[in-house]
Amino acid sequence: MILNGNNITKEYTRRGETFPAVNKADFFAWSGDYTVIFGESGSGKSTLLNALAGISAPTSGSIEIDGQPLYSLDDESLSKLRNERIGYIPQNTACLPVFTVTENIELAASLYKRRVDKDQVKSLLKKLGIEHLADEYPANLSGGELRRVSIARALVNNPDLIIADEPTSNLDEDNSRKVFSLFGRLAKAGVAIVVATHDRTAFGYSNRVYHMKLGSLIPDIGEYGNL
Amino acid sequence: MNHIVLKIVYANFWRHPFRNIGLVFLTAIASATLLSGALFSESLDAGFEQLSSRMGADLIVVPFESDAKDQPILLQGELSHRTLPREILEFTRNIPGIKIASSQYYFSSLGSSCCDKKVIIIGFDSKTDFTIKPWIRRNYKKDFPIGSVIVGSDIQVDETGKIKFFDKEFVVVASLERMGNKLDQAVFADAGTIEILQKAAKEKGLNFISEGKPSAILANIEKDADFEKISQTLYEKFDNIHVIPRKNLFDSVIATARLSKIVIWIIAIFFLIVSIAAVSVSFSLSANERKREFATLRVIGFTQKKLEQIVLGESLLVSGIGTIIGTLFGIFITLSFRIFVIDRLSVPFLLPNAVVVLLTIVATLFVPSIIGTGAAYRIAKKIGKIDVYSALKEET
Repeated sequence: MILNGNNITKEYTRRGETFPAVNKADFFAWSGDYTVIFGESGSGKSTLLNALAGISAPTSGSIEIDGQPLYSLDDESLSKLRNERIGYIPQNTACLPVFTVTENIELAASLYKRRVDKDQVKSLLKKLGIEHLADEYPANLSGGELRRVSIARALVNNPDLIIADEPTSNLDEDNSRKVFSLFGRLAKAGVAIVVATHDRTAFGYSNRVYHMKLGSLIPDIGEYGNL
Repeated sequence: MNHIVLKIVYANFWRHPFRNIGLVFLTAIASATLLSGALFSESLDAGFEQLSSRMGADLIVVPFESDAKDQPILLQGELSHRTLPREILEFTRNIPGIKIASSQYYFSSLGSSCCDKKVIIIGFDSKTDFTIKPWIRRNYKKDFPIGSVIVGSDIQVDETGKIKFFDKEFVVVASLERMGNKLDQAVFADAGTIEILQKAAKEKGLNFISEGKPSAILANIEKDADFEKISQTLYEKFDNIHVIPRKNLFDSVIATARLSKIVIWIIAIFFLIVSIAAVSVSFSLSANERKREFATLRVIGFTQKKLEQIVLGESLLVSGIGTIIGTLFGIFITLSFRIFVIDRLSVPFLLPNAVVVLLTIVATLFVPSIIGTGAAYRIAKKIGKIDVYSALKEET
């Protein structure tokens, strides 16, 4: 799997003034890459990740997965691709309150196929330390637990690419380490991981680091990077 | 619709049970009033059609009463015991321009073996009658032997096939099809039987039946005849009569019916608008509350179309349940109030044939559902195009 973004620009208009949240960013990730994007709040990390995940089209530039321009796909194809090949963990996640933890995770798994691998769901819950919450409803979960449910949901379809926006923001150190470690194992298994985070723990697992500053994406080859 | 979408639609119905049951209730009322309104209007129209075809006289002569309404006396349910002069029938027949004229006799029993209330008895002359006989002929082709009667559809006859008036038994030779007015509770008899009835009443000491004096004269006029001239001739000859033209025959009944129709349609439209507004507002608020949920569904691969289907499906479920309940209730109301309408409003009310009723029910099943879904359509489209990034950033 090759994720390739060229000259990605995403502009917003605030009080009549247009500004680039992401400015001419070039980005690529291969299967097995563990990429960390580091940057201050408001630097454009989330905007970039949304664009890479096929959720929000850039104003200009292109994003391709295996040579297929994402935003040239129709909604049906792009949604299917998002479901089957991209596991996206947004910064602020939500679960459907009418479904249990297991049902929320199975929702993503059963959307385009009828059969759900129940054992895989259980295994994911166990890996993330929330197997005891399988039958709980989201209203009874803490922020950290909900965060882990959304991670499990993103992983349930065995995606080629995992894009995570601050995946450990509500987690304690131990659980953060578990998540990054899980991502590390997935990267070793050939999954491309892209993580935007403030959590320095992530750097120890990554093989590529970017800095995001005022909308510009800068490859980091110094302080944190392993390249 | 995808099975996952259906699962979400169903689960969300129970998320706010009270709100959704409230919406179901409103839709049910709208649906019930809409169906009742439609059936009510159709029944009145069918009743009038039936009535005018059965009471098809160009003019009717009745005794003058200061408070009389220009309508067939039978529809008011209040029988007048006044009668016309005996010679009026012959006089009317001889007026130039009169094509045919026949007399009718109206009176009521003081209770009978069949009924727990007074029964209207209508006498007609089978030799000259042109209003009642054609109608009776649809169910009864033979002669009208003396001592026989024909009963309206609401008159129950026991297994003996006889009915008793003034302690005298009469053979019921036919039961008429429903007309949807007071005539359904009437008994019809030829002049010969009326004589027996009069005699029996007299033996019981009841002299309210004036022998040989008609209660009304019904006439048809020639094509080019002048109604005004004919009525003038009658007024000049007889005092205390009232000549009513066909066009005025049903005026007050039509006015009552029209008012009833307007009232019921206003109620139906009011509830329809209220339910549309409630569904629309409720789904708009709900969609706003659930922006992050919808955004999350987009993230995990739901298409715009699937999000729209969720909103429309939820609306369809609420309005669909409401419509089904309302339709059943509407049928119940219409059937229950049929007698009330005939008795209290004194308007003809005849349910149209089964096909028309079925089509009306099908139409009313669709209308509130379509409108309910239509109310959520704009919201569904908006949700389909949700800006996932902004929605996820919003605080819950």
